[in-house]
Amino acid sequence: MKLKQSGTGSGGAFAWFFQRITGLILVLTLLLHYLFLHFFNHGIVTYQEVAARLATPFWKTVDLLFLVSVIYHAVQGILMVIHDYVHHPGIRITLIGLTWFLGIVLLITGTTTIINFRL
Amino acid sequence: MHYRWETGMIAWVLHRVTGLALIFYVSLHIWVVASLQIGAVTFQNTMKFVQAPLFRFLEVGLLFCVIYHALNGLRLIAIDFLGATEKHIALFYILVGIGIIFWIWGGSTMVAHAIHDLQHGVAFFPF
Repeated sequence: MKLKQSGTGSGGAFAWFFQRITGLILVLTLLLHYLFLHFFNHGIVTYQEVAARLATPFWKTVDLLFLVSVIYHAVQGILMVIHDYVHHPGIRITLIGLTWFLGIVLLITGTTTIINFRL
Repeated sequence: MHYRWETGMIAWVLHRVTGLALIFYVSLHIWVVASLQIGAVTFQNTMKFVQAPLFRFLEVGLLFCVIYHALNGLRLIAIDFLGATEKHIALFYILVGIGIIFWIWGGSTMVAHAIHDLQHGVAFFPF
């Protein structure tokens, strides 16, 4: 069997390191997210309540950090899977392009949701 | 070529599978929450849809993916940065134990919500 690809982590040490950094940020932001949205708050989610929370600078900061980290982590994760299993150059470049496209669309969608609310 | 199905391999495969499942969920989540931008009525209707009993049960599976991916991710960090390589198997089973406790705790809340809603006339399928 011929192995052309070196495998996971072809993004190099930078990708490897930042996958761990963003992973750690995600564990912390996810803890905050779960504590405040699912533990202290057991009731029905209302627009007023979410809008009021998103209007505060604290939650804007936490949620933006959460969003950027999760999108970086997800895009990098898909790229690792593509590098491992897709060897045809055309399909590979198409999938990499689609991954970045999905990431950018989600980043714009999420960011506009977070920044649009004012006190 | 042979694959050896030992602890490290199983941990790695589960990390990948749960990771891909989480990407699917997070994409939907960002899109659903974006309905906040349209207005209160649209958002409340969207939330009513995604909080139907069907999705409460699916969330138990989501919670498994979140807990597994987070705890195994911490294990990878411990291996890469804290020199836990030789203890990686023991660490795996300790985290599985902690994970199961969190999963039962959170999962039972989700199932309780779903059963409560079903008893109060909410349809299982929102569509």
